[in-house]
Amino acid sequence: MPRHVTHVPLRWADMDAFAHVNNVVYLRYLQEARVDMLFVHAPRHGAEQLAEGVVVARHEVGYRAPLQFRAGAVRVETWVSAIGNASFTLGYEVLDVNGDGERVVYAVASTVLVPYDLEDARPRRVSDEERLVLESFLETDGPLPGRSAA
Amino acid sequence: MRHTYECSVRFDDLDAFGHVNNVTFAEYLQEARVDFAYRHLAYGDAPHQGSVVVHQSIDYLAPVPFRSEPLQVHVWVTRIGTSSFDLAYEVSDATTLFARATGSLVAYDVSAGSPRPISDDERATLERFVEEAA
Repeated sequence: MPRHVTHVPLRWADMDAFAHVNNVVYLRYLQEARVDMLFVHAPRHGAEQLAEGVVVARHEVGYRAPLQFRAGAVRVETWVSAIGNASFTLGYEVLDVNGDGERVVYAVASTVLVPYDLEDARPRRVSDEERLVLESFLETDGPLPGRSAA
Repeated sequence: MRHTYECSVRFDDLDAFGHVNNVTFAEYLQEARVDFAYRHLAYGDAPHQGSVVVHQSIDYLAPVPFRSEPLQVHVWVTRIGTSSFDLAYEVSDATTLFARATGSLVAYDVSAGSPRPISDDERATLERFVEEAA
């Protein structure tokens, strides 16, 4: 299945006092990619409700390499790694693809999301229309953000 | 022992859903971690001897609407290795646990751009804050 691809521009101020992109900012890049996928792309394909309410239940991020500011955007690939009755999980890679096709991965991440009825303030089930759109991005064997110990 | 950081919620921490945005929780963790480091690890005298985040996870347990009272971010140490250590966090107030989180950090020589061993002073300080994971 294809991944959803978003190019997120870097801002100079994304870097912190260590002169690399701050760890928190990676979560912002993931959010830009997720919003593009779920709030812009998915509604065009029949899953309008996602834009009206979906909340993050869990994030996990494995930071693989430091990222410095440069003029070009960074590529965020997003896929669906699991679909449950009332939640689904996204996988992400934040990366560059060089001219020769080499992939330089800066972070691998996952997010558990819960469709949410904001008016009633409670979770709701994944609808059939949402499931269809999510299934078009299903990749159950993608990379995981697992931790390394030293 | 846990380090506790009093964390104010800013009006623009909230997103269009009327609650503190998920990304902002990672900022709160960072504020607590940096406060812990500067108060106890004394990086202020040697700012290049910092550490970098190599992994983190956040479990969001309850939404945070706007509030004028600060949140408490508790941070403690769950593992100390040769050049890395693990932290645990809770974001809460007197009645509600809003988030639980973990972070793995690698001691880092910023000027050399490479990992470094945890110093004896750092280890002694980190050991005072060791608790089991929540």
